[in-house]
Amino acid sequence: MERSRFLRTVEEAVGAATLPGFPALHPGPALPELAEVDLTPHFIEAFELLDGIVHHQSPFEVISKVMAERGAEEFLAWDQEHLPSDGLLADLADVGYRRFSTSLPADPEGRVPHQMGYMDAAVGVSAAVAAFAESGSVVVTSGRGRSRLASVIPAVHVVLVPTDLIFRSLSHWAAQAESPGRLANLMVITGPSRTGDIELALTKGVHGPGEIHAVLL
Amino acid sequence: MSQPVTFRRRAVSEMGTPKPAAVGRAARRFMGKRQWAVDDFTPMEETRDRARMIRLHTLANLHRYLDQFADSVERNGGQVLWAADAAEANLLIAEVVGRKEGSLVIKSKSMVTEELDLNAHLQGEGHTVVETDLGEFIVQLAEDHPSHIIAPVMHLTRQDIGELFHKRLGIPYTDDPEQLNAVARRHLRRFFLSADVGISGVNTGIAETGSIVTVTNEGNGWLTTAAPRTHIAVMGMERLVPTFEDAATIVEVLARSATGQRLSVYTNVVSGPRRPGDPDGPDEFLVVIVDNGRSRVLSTDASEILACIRCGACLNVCPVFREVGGHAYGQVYSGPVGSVLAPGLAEFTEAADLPFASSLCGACREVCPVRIDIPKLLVHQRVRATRENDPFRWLGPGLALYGQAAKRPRVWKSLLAAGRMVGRLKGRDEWFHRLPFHAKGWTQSRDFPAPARESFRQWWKENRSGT
Amino acid sequence: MSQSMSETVQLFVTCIIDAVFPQVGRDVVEELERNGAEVEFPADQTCCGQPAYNAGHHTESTEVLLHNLEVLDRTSGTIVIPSGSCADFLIHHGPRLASGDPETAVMAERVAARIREFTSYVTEQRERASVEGTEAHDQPPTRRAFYHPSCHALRGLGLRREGESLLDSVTGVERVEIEGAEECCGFGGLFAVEMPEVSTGIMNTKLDRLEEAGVEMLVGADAACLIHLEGGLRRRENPMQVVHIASAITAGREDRR
Repeated sequence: MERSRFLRTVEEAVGAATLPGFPALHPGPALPELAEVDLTPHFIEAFELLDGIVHHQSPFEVISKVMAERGAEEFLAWDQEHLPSDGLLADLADVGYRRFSTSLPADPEGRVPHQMGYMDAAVGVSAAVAAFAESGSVVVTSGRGRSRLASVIPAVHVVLVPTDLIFRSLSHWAAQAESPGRLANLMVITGPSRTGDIELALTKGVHGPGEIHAVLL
Repeated sequence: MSQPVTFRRRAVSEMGTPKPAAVGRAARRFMGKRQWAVDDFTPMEETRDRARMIRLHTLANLHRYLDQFADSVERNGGQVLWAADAAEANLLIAEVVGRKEGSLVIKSKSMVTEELDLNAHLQGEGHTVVETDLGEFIVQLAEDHPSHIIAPVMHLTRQDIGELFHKRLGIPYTDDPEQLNAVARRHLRRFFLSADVGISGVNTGIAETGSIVTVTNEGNGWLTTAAPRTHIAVMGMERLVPTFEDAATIVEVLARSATGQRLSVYTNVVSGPRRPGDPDGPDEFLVVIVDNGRSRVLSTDASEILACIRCGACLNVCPVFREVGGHAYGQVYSGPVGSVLAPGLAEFTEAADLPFASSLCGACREVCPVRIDIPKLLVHQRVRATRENDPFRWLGPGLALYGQAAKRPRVWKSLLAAGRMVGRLKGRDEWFHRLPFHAKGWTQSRDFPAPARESFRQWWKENRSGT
Repeated sequence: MSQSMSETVQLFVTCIIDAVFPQVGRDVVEELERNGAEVEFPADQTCCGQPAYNAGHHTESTEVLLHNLEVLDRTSGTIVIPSGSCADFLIHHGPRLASGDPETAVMAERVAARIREFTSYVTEQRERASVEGTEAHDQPPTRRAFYHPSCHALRGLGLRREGESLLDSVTGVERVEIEGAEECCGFGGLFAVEMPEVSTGIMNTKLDRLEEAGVEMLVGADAACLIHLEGGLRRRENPMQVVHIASAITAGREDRR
């Protein structure tokens, strides 16, 4: 249907609508003023409540340990310039871990064969552009050198979290964040992948990672 | 022609199976999880108020926000398609999917595509459609329908699912949720990575930024929107908010209300196809905006139901839903919200008895995160039903008599006197075991008291009245 | 607010109590008078109109409603209603149904503002006068009683504690909780005959829980729910006593039983 005709139908319906408190006003930005608090302990508590694992060691140590525990050789990761840990990828390469390329080939037909290769990656490494103390969430985005699949395909997700990027909540961050329209994808991750679909029994690692590690920086 | 009371018939048949008991148990457990932590930075009542205002404001300006949304999507490099009804939506989607013969389509949970019966349509055109939400995947394997907005297989036990996986996927029988989950993960993985098209629903669209937000706990929503070359988002036209900040409020309320989480595991904000330089993501992004009866609902007394954010809390708390399960409603949307929405979306006559499937106990209104007065809307739909296709036509004469008598005190008193006669004739027991005609529904399971031999007003007149 | 000993109270007794349980009405009068009220009974009252409202027959409902609003509007003083459901209807739905005409709309608001549900009124009166419910007899609690809060009182008017504390003041009664105390009993007016099997299913859940908790006495402030539950209990041949709160407090005081 034509956009204009569709919208005209909607406009007529709006005219006939019986909404309480019509015309409804937009509430506007309204967040409670809160005293300054150190949000890091809040974040840690909330993240661990979701069975997330918090680390204070260096990213290299954490990733090496996770890889070794699993006997893994390959990992997915963002480009070095987007990881707030200098030389991390080079250090991992030095000890023999291979980073799987996350850049799709130019030929669209090459997409599927390329992506099928991710099946074997045990660990994905990315970095938070924001984190939320209330919910224990981390935010990752798409962008140059920032693969989306790196954070969601492997069974283990290691996310680097600069503590100065911890905000109170999604709402508090959204009130001041840049428009998400600029980026193809913005993902708020709150704990390991889980489901309660079978008799509400909580099981982890359905399609996304069953394990999430936050390395605090 | 009066039409058969189909909800009642379906309810009775469902109640004869073990399904409703499973639903009742699960729904009660669901409610137990649902709570707002007191030490949150997000204050509960204020945030609910805010969410309600955002939704009502959007509905009151829906044509403007849809216009703005479409501009924003196009600015981001996406494409918007407009579908007046299910047939048109299916046609538009099939056109995109059909650019390749025998496409592999993966889907993350979307109630609106259930409305469209999209899977059947695409399969009919020779494409393969795979549901990826664990619950929806089970529904698809069982060739069943979802019974709950949030928990599609609430009606199945783990044993049912174990049997199903054993039969359909050829694995040894197990009813351990961990193992069943691992089987589904392995099975679906290759579909995610090799699909041609990903079809998602939309929890909320953002007018200002042209983004669509999906929330999932499993991660299938993210994979569906990130791995295939083409991403089609199917959105009910009312699922919009003005700004990103508003969307944040909605998902914070939604997660708490649906599953008692502060946020769902994956709150996915997609704004167009992948940008130059992005290593991965879809090459094309389309939003199909679906009316399919929504503008009709918007122009009636039941407009407010479109403020719903599909958390499912009203289902979980509803005594009727707990008793009969989702399938008794015979519609895509069940429970209190479905009983208002379904007769409005469809030709009204189709589900005219659903608004009566409620004791009007008010539990849904109390729990609704955006404070929709669902009982009031149910009554509005009942009024419409009595005018257009009364499923309880036999009540008409009785209610007309009641109406005439109860506004004339003298007639009312003679009616009471007649009642007393019955009471006197009734004898010592004073409760009826059987009543005639439609009233026998009551005495199927309950005695009914006979009128007293002396009414209160009679006693008052004889003992207390000055006159 | 007048502090005088005799406040005039208009009793809107409800059709069910009038026709089926007149003794409850007499107990209501007794309790109101004990709290110092001068009770009047407007003789032309009939039924609030809710049955037709819930059934979707709003023409009939509005006519019945307006008749009763006019009857009540001719009186003065607080209007007490021994039913959360009828009170909720007159307070919350009445003004909306009567809003077609500016004059009736004003009248509906005026009447609504005078209405108090019985347990809420008595609780307030007792608090104001610091009246103890029952002269304390030194006898141990004998019967396990559950107070059914009733949906419309609970969720429509926000009442539960009021009825419970009135029941607590009754000698010889131990108030107990049941699982799902605030869930509907399945009555729902004409719902019980339109969808009898579903209504029965909900009722049975409630009755099972009452039985599991070993409840011997079921107390409530809405006669309609009580009829429904007692009707079901009788079929089960369960001897649980079903009592309106007004009767429970007067009987408890006089040790009538």
